[in-house]
Amino acid sequence: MQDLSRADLAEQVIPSLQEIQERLGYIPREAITWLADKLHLSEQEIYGVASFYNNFRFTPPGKHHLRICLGTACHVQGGDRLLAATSEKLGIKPGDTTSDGRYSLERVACVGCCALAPAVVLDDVVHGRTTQRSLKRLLDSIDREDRKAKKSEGGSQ
Amino acid sequence: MPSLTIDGKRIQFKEDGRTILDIAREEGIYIPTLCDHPDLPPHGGCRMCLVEVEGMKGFVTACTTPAKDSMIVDTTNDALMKLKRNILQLLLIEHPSACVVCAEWNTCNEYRSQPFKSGLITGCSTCPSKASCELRDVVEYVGLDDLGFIPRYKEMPVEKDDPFFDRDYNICILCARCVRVCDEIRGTGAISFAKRGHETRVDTAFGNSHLDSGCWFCGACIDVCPTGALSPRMMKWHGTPDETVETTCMLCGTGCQIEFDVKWNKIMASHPGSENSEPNRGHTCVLGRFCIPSLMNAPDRLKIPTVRREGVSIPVSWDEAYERIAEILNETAPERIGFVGGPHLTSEAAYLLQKLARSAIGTPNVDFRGSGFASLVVRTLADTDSFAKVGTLRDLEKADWIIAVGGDFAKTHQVVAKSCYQAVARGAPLILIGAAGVNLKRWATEHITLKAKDFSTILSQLAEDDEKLKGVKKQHVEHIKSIVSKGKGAIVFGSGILLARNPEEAMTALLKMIGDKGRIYPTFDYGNEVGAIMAGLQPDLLPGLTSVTASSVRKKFEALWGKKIKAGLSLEQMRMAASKGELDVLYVTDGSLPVKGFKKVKHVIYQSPFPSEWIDRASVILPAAGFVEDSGTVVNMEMKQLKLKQVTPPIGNSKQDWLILTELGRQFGSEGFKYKSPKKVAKELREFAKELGSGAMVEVEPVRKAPDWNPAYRGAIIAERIRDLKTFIDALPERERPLSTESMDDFVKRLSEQESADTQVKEVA
Repeated sequence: MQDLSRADLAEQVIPSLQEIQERLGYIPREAITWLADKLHLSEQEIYGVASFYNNFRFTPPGKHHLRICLGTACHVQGGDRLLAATSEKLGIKPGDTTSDGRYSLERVACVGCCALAPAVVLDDVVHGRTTQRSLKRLLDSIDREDRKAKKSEGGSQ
Repeated sequence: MPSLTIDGKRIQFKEDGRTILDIAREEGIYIPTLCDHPDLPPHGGCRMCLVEVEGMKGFVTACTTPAKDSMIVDTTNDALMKLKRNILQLLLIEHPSACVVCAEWNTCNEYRSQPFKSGLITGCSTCPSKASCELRDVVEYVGLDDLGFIPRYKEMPVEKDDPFFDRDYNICILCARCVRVCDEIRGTGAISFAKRGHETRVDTAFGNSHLDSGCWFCGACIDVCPTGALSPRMMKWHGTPDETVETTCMLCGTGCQIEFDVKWNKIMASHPGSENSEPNRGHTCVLGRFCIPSLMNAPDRLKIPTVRREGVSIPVSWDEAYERIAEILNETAPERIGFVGGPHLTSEAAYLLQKLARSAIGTPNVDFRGSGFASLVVRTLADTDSFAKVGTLRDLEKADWIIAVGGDFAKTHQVVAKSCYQAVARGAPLILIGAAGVNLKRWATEHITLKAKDFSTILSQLAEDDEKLKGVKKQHVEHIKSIVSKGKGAIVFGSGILLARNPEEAMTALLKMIGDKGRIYPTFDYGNEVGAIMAGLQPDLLPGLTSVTASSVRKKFEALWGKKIKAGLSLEQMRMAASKGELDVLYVTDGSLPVKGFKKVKHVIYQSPFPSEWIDRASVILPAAGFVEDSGTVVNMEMKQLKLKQVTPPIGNSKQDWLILTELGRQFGSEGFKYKSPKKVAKELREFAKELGSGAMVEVEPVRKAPDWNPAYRGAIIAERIRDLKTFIDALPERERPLSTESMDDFVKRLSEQESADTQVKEVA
């Protein structure tokens, strides 16, 4: 990036942040420092951009990433109540990750499945017409699978 | 000539990109603004300057709309004012807005600049505001009588953890002035807007301390803040000053104009001077902004002359002190007496010190504690008759390319760095030579890292247009050469140049490379090194940079002063002589001079505003005035003569250096000491300096290690006296690392590995 002008370098902020998040899952603190060095900007200038956009997160995502839709249709169908209940169950605010690193929760605005409202996306799989009960069942089954997988992993050693 | 109409007033103007706001202001038409500041480019953020222009859709911001011929502008119609009132009401939701509808408004206005008292009188404790709150002025003009919306107090704690200033973001209106001045003018970017919507606030990355965010504590953010959100911690409780006086700061060689608030004959606060005052134009550094009042009002300032009798220092009158000095000097052979000045004396005092030594006492041993750097620069410039090649900071901002070598100006000369950045922001490439410039790294197009002793090699190679450049890879050589071959260049250099294998060669090369179009910018470390040399405070130079070996000029001085003049001992030679017991009396005016080597001297006469290790061995102590209490002239890095204006009377019983030296001259019955004011001294000095002589030998003491930046003033180490400055200086090494060169792939790989290691540790635990 040495040959780029200062303005060209500044234009690289968002694409670089996107690449980092794509590859690491989030924007670690070190990444801001590293990128500031690379783009000849201050850490503050990078952080200002990164903290402006909801898309960028500063905490690592959980093993399972749960997104709850609050688009118009989902909101009307009770998406907000679903989010509040899940938030309470997991003990985290939207945007955060549980302390055991298993789940991260995010609120999104429309995932394009309005006919299935309220929609929930768990690890890139859409689950439609979700209720608090069906979401609990879904998370429980994930927990069971993970325990099983861990056991077999432990047994094979 | 094009003309436009504002509020029915026809105005002729020149179409040169000036905005409607600029024209209105020139004509004395008030348009309210909050985000606009004369120092900053137009922003268009606060929407307070909205105006209606016939033929243009909707309302436009006067601060960003260039004035055009035959525009018809309305600034006050009902629709506009209603709109402004609504915008202001929205803006005040997040400001402790009770202030603007408070029943105590008038009382508060009266006492506003004394927030402490104002709080007691009005019962208000929301704002540490300064004498003027621009937000209130705008509210008054727009005419709000109710708030309109429910206020939403942000409940953020006042931030007091960082050195020098307090920040209360509860009263911040997000005008972005501080963010813009830090980023666009100073090139620091230590603060930025974080988050968005209601959560928006001015912050550092991850809320880090300002010590880690790259902040230089120059205080520019405080100076542009329109509310009381940012305030200097030590300077906000003194209320309305009795007067304000602008003078030259002597803490480094830049020569900044600083304005002081004076109350009860003491300096209470310092601000950068007016934006029209050269060279700093409304900017300053951490020292000028925050440190001078505490330094000058220090309780341990020397206030009374003392004389040592039987091992005990006894306070005496000035006359008794002078008599004792005369006694000491008269009983000693002149060649066994040495006079050592300092780089913080005014030109007048420096001139008088060497005149006292050479004419009244008859000793040739005069020198001053300098960096050797000024000596190299001034003597080379005199030798090659190239004083015209020294540029002003205004020139620097217009340079087409910049080379920075031998200094870390972002730290040591923050105002020079600001001018550097202005050129960089305009697109001028900056080539950084050496590791010392690490704090300028973000601005650099090319960073040549090589050992300081190779400075002379690379500068010669650049000057001679060699095929190769020391320490530079082949593909960069072409790039660097193409940069320096065009346009008006600028070479900013500092005392680090003395680390070069051959500093004289480096200096000559640098002058050759810059040619006739470019300019050089020597960043001197102390207030008046150049002035001291020009005044003849050198063992081998007479006033006016004439060598003592130039017989015609010397004879003139000899006739005038009635004493034979010859070359004397330099400071180092005096130290040698003293250690051999060949020097009996030393007259010291700078406490920063190390005592080492002078322990065998029988009598020390110490003249300074501050105590130092010298006072324990001084036979006579003369309390001198600090630079804010002195008047005279200094010569700054631009080779300009700047005035020192007396701000406060000398503290206690102390006296200005020129006065002490004049009275002492009279004590010796010398005819030439009848000055009534430093102006008379300056006039005499000017007479001599007219015939700028030649034959100044360029001699440089080799330097092996650059000293750490630790600003001092005549024996007072400033960081030892001001805790905040020490905190700041201590935090610097952490920040001074080179830019990362890791690629994206390597970085991601390193981070992933680090994280999986972390998780394993966690799982094991």
